[in-house]
Amino acid sequence: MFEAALQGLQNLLSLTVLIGMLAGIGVGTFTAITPQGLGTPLMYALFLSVVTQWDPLVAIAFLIGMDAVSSTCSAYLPVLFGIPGGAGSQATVMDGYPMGRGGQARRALGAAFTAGILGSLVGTATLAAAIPVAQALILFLGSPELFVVALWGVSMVSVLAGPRPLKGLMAGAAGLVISVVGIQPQSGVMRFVFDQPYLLEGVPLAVATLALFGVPSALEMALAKVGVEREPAPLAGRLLDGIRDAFHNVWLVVRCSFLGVWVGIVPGLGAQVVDWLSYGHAAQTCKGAKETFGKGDVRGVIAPEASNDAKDGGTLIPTLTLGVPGSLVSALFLFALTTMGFAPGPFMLERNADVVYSIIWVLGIASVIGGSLGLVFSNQLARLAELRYSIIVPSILGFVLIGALNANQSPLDLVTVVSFGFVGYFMKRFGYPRPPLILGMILGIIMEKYLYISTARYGFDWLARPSVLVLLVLVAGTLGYTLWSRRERATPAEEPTGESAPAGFRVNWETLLVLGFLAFFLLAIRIGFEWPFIAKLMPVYIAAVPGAALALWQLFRVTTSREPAAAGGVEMDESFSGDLDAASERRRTVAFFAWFVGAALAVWLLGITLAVPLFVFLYCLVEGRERLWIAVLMAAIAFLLVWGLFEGVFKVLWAEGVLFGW
Amino acid sequence: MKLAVRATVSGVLLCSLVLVASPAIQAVDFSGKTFVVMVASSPGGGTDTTARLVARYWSKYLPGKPEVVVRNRPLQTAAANFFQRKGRPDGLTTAVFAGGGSLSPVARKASSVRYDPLSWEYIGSIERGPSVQFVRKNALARLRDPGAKPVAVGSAGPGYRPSDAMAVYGAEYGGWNIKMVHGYPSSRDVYLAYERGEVDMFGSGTSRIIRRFLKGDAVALAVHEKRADFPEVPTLQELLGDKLPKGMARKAYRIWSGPSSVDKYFVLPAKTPAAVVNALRASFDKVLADPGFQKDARKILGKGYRPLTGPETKQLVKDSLVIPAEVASFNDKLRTKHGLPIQK
Repeated sequence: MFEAALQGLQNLLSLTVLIGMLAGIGVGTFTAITPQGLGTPLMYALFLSVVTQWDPLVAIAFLIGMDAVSSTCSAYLPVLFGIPGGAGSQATVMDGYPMGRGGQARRALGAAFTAGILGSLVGTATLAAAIPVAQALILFLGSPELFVVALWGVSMVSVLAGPRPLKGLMAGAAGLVISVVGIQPQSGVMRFVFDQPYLLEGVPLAVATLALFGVPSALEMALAKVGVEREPAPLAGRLLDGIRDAFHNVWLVVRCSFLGVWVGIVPGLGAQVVDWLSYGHAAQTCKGAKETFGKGDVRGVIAPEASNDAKDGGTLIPTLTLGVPGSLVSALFLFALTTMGFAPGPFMLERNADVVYSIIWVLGIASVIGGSLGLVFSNQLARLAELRYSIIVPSILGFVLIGALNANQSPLDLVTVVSFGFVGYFMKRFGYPRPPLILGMILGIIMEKYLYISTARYGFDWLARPSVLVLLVLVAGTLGYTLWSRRERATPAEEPTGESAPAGFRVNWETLLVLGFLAFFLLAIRIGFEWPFIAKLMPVYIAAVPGAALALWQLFRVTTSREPAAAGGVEMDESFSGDLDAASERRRTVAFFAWFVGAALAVWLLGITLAVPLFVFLYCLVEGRERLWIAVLMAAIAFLLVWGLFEGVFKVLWAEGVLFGW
Repeated sequence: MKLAVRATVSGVLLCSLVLVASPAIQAVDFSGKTFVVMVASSPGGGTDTTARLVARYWSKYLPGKPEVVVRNRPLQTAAANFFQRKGRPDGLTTAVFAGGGSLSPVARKASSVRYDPLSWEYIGSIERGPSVQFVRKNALARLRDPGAKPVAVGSAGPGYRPSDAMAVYGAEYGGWNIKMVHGYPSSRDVYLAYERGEVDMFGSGTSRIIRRFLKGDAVALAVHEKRADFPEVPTLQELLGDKLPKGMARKAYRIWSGPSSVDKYFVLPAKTPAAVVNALRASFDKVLADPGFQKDARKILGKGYRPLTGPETKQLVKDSLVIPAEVASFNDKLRTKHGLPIQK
């Protein structure tokens, strides 16, 4: 093996391979900083036919370089704009964005890139070490074990619910219901599809997340009118501080990296869950997290970034050792290897061990180079956090609309993005944590699938498998620890009294939100009740019925002014910290949503190529009162992005506006 | 006489004008235009891979050598609805679908399906190869012993897969002692389940996968249609012989295992002029005959890949869509018995 590792490194000592890797790094960096939708899978698909004609090592260096960097550099968007930067860096928004807004963008980016580099190195080292033993590890994880791992993930809802367990659990239950939208492979039942082909494959998670986080982030800036009424926070933190933070929290980096590797190895969990799990883990274990997480704690940036980068090494483990890809990108990489004449899996380990190690080397080297480039650019890009709201808000909303529509090129993407934008706003406004909703949406369907397969294959015997028992103990331990630590932290003064405000019946906007949750759960029960048992077990019995009970309880609390003070636990989601008077806040919120909904309508009517530049232009000029040339410049940039880049270069098939024949 | 000559010349000129103007006879030329290959899937899947493979060679055989671009439009049903509604019959856009999804009875039961595959014009299709059913060597004895623990058969997705048909018909008419373990999200999850011993039997049509498992501890039981690259593997019908009764059972088996034959198919919108359809079919056939394409296809799709012409593809689509009620009901009973989802 040592000879193979050395030979693998020697393979890379060629100018063409180096150029290939640098080209991949360039493309990967670019992919990471563009709006969602232009992800690595599309880039792989575009380049595969070209690179498979190249020398195999050059092609491998290009592809792995691109993939490694697209994770490492995904922190820009969450920190600077408050929108998720890809499947594995959603949770970075939670603390990265408050840091960015607080003038700590450089520090946040420094920490993110350093944690990313370190995480990637841990992932790479684990991959290298795991080669001889990985097969056994992967094969150890059967459907019963995968079910328990998913259950463990769902139990994180209790952590991510923060000090508002009732609200968090409600959000988690709603996420579980949403997760089952589409055809259930086990029964063939179409759940919550409403005759819309758009929903046959489920609610697009990328669009939902983009809206849940991106829209409230933009609204917050529009409310405060940053750069006009309120000065942006001066750039205080330094890049070096962030680098130091990452090294200072090196054990957190290592723990989260291993968590990332683990999630990468486990087939079927997916990249989108890795950052939330590590964020939840950090919130559970970091000292003082209760006071600082969700408000701009650098550890809340370090944890998801380390795990997101480490997972790439993990994902390659089943790909290289078994020939079974763990993700779409690794499926494409597998395809590339096959096209170039390799047989990934045990045969490749035997016959082309040096190439396997070349892949590992490229993964490590590319991450370091990509992360270092990220650090270099961070100093300049951090200044974006100082821009006026009149420039940032239309940019964020433009990104959100482009990212959303690029998911499926369907007009219903616009409905999804607007709906989840409103949900995100109301949840943030009234302190309902959004992470449990996301986690439920990701893990619900995974849990259901493995529960079904386990029972279909083993009956209930799977519950007695030693590996399942061990994992169940770990799940119970996690839950128990969370609940215990919450009790521990709640001082008598913080204990919910249940009567923190004078009792009396009241109806307000929050009441409407809770009624919305209640109606949602009742509708789910009503629709799902007629399905066969296997189709309704998860959405109706496990999610909607308890969800409705929780919503009723919350309704009682809200309408009778019995909302307790926050219980112990980590504040898992930021809420609006408005110092505006109620009337101004209402007026600006309405204006913001009018612009947003108007922009979505314009995209529907005119098509995105015209609508987004037009929206950016009008927002800058009318709402932001920018000078004409700035509005024209912004619109031109938007046009170049949508038409020049997406349509011209990447051949994205944008749907035409309805006025032009959508 | 002069009048007659004039009349003849005018007639000839008029006829020539009509001929030139008629799209049916006009020479098809896409010079300077962009030919779009709309792939009804996300980038990277099997449909996308196949479409991009053809697209790479297509331009040089298309009349006028237009630029060929591949564009993904995920969500197969939505893409098919879009293509049905908005596809222009000018020959400049072809759509590529996967037969297993777009023609699957389970997927097509949705009232949201607003496309009619029979209205489209078929350029051709590429099939990765008929499914081969594997079983682990040490599970063979259990498969034939009704008193033993049933052999677990892995099955993916809600569709009507030919490998499921082989397992179910093998159980019904060949006495195979099986238990269907259904609900794996994709084929690769089934492979993994096999690797870790969760299931002992499954089917695949991909050469690479077949070779890989045959080198390991699996034996090929049956194939649903003869394969040139695995000629020694018997078809299920050969294996069962007269145990598979003629009439309804054979017909139902053929129909259940049918849609996979229409694997990745290339279509033009309804009402595309015949000349355009023929030109595109000819260019598609030339792509498939290109030595470079064949070399790449063998590497990417496996040696067992099989091209089908436009008319052949259309006939197979017709066969798999127009299912007599009694045949559908026969198959649904078998599926229900073995715990597989059915079209309601």
